Parts: sequence; structure tokens; C-alpha cells
Amino acid sequence: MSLTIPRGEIFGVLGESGAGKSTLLELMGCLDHPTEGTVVVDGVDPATLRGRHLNRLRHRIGTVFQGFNLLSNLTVRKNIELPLRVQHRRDPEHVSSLLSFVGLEHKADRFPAQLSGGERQRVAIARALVIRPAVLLCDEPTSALDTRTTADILRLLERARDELGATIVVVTHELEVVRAICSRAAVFERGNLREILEVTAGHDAFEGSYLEHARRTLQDPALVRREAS
Amino acid sequence: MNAIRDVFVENGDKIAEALLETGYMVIVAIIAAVLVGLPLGTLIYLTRTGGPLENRLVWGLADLYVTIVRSFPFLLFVVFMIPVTRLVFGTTFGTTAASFPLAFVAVAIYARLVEQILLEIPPGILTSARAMGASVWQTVTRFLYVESRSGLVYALTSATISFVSYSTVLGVVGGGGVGDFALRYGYQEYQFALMYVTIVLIIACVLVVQATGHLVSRALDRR
Repeated sequence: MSLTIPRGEIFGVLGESGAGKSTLLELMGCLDHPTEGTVVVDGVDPATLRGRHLNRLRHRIGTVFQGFNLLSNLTVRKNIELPLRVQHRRDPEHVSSLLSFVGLEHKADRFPAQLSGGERQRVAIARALVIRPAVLLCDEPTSALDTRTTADILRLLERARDELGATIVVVTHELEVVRAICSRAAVFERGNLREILEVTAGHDAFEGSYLEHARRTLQDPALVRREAS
Repeated sequence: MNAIRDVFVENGDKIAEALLETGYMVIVAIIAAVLVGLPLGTLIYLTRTGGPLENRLVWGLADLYVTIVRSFPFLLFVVFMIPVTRLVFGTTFGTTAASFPLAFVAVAIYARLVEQILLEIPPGILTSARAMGASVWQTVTRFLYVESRSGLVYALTSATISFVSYSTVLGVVGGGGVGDFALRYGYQEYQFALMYVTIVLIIACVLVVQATGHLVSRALDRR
């Protein structure tokens, strides 16, 4: 299989559970090596690196995990700061601006246990963005969220690409998510990359009220138009 | 009631001395547990199969030490350690020398508790540390210990209470302490009031330790 994602693209990875999406994410996150072939991330092949140098490459990649993986004994602010501390850096202004970016300034000193699922997801996104990553990897970023919250999160990801210039890879099994923000999507089945699809359907999947969203998803658009007239 | 008051009037200074001896031994045990037991337990966790520093040899040796020392009947362990104790301290008698074998056991007890606690940390935390490019030291100090801090404190409390109990046995080698005091001056001298008063004193101290540990552990836990 051969796959190239240019800078600044929001790329989807689709497939059912066990189809190979997580493995791909691990390869892109420099957490594992391929048994065959090469992976190049931000111009570097992680298989050629060890130890500290490998860690330095990982410093350029932000990951948003399916289970958030926040430290429950740290405040929201300290969670977001954590990747910076790992790189021996501090940037309180940037952390504060990210807190505003995800809309959590007023909850900066709360703990994850006191937040809703959507809020925790936003902390996870802020944490991934704090290092100004070249690449942002998202593993099922909206699977645990309701439609409204999903729409908010997707808008956040788009802003991350627009304002911070990140290349984003979104692994998901939700077609609507891919349709909303991705320009292309790779489809995996049973561990194999089957095809890379261009997303040509409208990017309006999450716009409007919940009723409109339900109509769009459940009813044939041609029927809806006929009803209206 | 009078009998109890008399106990304190007649033996107050000896009880105080015994309490200090127990305190000394338990504090040595706690220091050993934290300075050696915590790193050892962490090492066992890191070098296990599938762990970040997987190493069967190191894991095997560390785990073997902990298993053997914990299984050893304590009094026999003290006897077993006599030659080493004599080598290091020149004697086997006295509170300091008695604390020596206790330190080894304290390390083993706490190491096993630490390993158990670290194993309960959700694996996603380790994954996120790796993804952030954290070194092993950073993973341990900034992720693992932060997430498990209340558990580690609570386990230390539990271990400390065990140490108090173990210190009683050390009276046999001249370690002194409250347990030995209760046995020799209380039970063996047929001064049962003294014995019971001393036992109540020990239990009261243990309750204070337990309550403190519980409070601190709760305060550290934001989960």
C-alpha cells in the first residue's frame, strides 16, 4: 500500500474495528515499526531513529486518543502543559490562548473528573496542540460524543488546520465525520487498505439544527425537496 | 481505672522509652521502603514482560528477592541475617542492629505493593507518555507516580502498620520496642494491666497512622 498525505490536509482513515486503523495510527505516531516498507513522518523515517532522537521526532506529533488519556490528578491547565514540560519548555501564554481556543478558560483549574466528555475531549485536543505539532493524529475523536458536541469538536479541528497549519489525520468509523471535514479518506477492510476516496459530498453534515441533521441523514434529499415545494 | 493510672505512674518512663524504640525501628523501615522499595517496585513494573524496559534478567532477580524475603518467616529471617548484621554493625543487639533485617523486609513489602499499584494504572497513560516522547524517567515521575500517588501513600500507610507489628518480634534480638515491653514487663511479669495498657497504646498509635494516611491519600486523589 502507498499513502501520501500532503501538509495541511485533513485526512480520514475509515474502517470497522480491527480493520487496521489503530496500527496505521501507531506507525504514524512513531510508536511502532512496519514489518515491511517505510514510513516517513514530517520528512523523517522513524525506523532510523532510537532513544532520544526518536523522542524528539515524537515531540513534533500531537495525538488525541480515543479514551482521552488525561491525567486525572492534574488540573486542566497542567494537563495541557504536560507535553511542553516533557520537552523542558514552558509557555504559559500559549497554554492560556489554547484554553481560550477550546473554550475552557473558566475551567482551567478543574480536574478531568469534574468535566463532561466533550470538555475532556477538548482538553485532549488542546494538549495535543500545545506543542504546535506538524502532525495531529486523532483516534476516534468524536465516538463518545453527541452530535452537537461532535460538531463543536470538528470545527475546532478545522480551526487547528486553518490557524495553526497542522496536518490532521482522523481515524474514525463515522462516515459523517469524514464527510464533514476531510478532503480524502483511506478505507480499510480487514487489515488492508482498499481505496483512497475523494470526499465530494457536501461538507454540511453537521450544520443546522439536530432535526435538519436527522432529516439529512435519514431521508432522501430528493424527497425532502419535493415535500418543501 | 486506678490500676491503669498506676501503670503510667510506675512505668511511664519505660513505656516512653519503648515507644521511642518502636518509633525508631518503624521510621527506619519507612525510609528503607521509600528509598529502596519504591524504586525496586517501579523497576519490577518497568522490566516486566511487555513493560517499557522489558528485561527478563533484571525482572527475575528483583522479583525473586521480593518473593523470597516476603515469604521468609520474619523471626527466622532475623536469625538468618545475623552474620550480615554482625558484619555491618559489629553486633546483633540493640535497636539499630535490629532495624537492619526489618529494612530488608520493609523494602520487599513495599516493592510488591508499589508494583501492584502501578499495574492498575490504565495502559493508555503509558501510551500517551510514549506518544509525547517522554523518557523513562519522565514517564515514571510525570505520569505514573502522578496518577498513582494516592495509592502509593495509602500502601505506605498499610505497610507502616505491618512494620509496627514486625518490630514486636525484634524484641527477641534486643531491639526493644513497645511489643517487647508488653511481653517482658507485662505478660512475663504477670503485670497484665501493664500489658493491656501497652497494647492499647500500640493500637492507638496505629489508628493515628491509619487515619493520617487515609487523609493524605484522599487529599491527593482527584480521580
